[in-house]
Amino acid sequence: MHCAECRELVAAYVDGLLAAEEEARVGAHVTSCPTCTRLIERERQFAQSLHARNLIRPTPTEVRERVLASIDAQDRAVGWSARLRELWARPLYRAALAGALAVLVIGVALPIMLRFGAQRRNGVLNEVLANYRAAQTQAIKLQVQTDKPKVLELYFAQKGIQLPTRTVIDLRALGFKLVGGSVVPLGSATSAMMLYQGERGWLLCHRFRAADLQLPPDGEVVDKDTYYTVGDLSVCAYRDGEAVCLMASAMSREDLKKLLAGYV
Amino acid sequence: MDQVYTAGLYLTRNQDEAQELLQETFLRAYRFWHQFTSGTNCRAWLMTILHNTFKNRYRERYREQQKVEFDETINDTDSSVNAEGLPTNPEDIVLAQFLDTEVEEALKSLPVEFLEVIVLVDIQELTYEEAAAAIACPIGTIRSRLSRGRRLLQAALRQYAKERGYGRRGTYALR
Repeated sequence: MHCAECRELVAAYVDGLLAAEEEARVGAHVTSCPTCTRLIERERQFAQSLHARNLIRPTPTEVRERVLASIDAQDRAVGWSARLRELWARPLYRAALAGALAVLVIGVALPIMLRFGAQRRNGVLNEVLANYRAAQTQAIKLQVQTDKPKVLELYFAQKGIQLPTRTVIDLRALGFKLVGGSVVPLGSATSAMMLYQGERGWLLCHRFRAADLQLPPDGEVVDKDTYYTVGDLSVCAYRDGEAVCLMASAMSREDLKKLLAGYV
Repeated sequence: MDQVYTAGLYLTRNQDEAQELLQETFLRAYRFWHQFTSGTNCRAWLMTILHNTFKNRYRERYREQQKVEFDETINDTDSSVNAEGLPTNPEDIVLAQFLDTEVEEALKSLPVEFLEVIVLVDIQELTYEEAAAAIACPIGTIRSRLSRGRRLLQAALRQYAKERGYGRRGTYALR
């Protein structure tokens, strides 16, 4: 062992904290090195004096009180979020919190997400639902108010809506009188929207060109018609070449099917 | 609390900063009390928090102290003690000759990396293992820093004695 190494180990040596092998090596070096012998003796005396000295300073009373007050303040201020973090750090509580979170996700968040997912999937049908409610509550004002299909047909033509067949359907034979209509956007298309009223409530009809319109695949197909339930509405969809017709009513799906059977 | 406050005083070398360090250390200890392993040394745990807080709070200064002062002390040898006016035999240096405040001043003059080890082991009486955990370094580093730190402290005290003329008073008595 060299003196340099001995000097590095001297503290642990005089503190008696060297491993047996290292202690033996230092001891062997010291027997042949008077310089390190003096060094160790000096270090031993100094370390003993240092340990015997009480160099701990008392904390000033006002500082002590301030620290305790700050802990109290933190305790009051941190509230539930910090307590939650604290609990999260404990494995047992973490498992319990994770379980509670899972229940929350499955019980609340998932249904909401599924509902939003369904709404997104329904796309155009949801717009029909919104328009139905808006028209029913007169939240939107019809651009043309007339009970005459031809008048509305002319208005739609002026607005550039041209379909392979007549745009405005006359439903008087089914007990529904035309109230009026508007040109509204529906999905990416421009739609002719018609509102009817009868003894069986309101009936809203959208007609538009949409060759590539994708309707939800979960509808009930009856002949050329497909029926959907959207919210509290029943919707009948059918294609007529490039034109699409969507008819929405608050009637049950069965009643709507009966109403429209053989008509559209 | 006194131990933490004292360690803060040495590390920051400033009373106001020591008080802030003490407060932050206790707030953190209280907040993370659940992480304390019961049955282990609570003082060592508090010292770990104190050192981490100190390093985070005064990171730049900590680096500066380590960098600059390590350069100054890199040639720590026995020859430095044989200055004019001091006892020619370094074994004669006795701690009892100095007031507590003088020892404290000498301690505060040490580079922080040596100072913190002396504070942890010689003043706070932590084991080498606890000190190593507190400042996140190997035990071997604790051993060598402690050896060198104690010699540096003696050198600082000798310098102090020289400036105050203690050397001319004659003999240093052991405690």
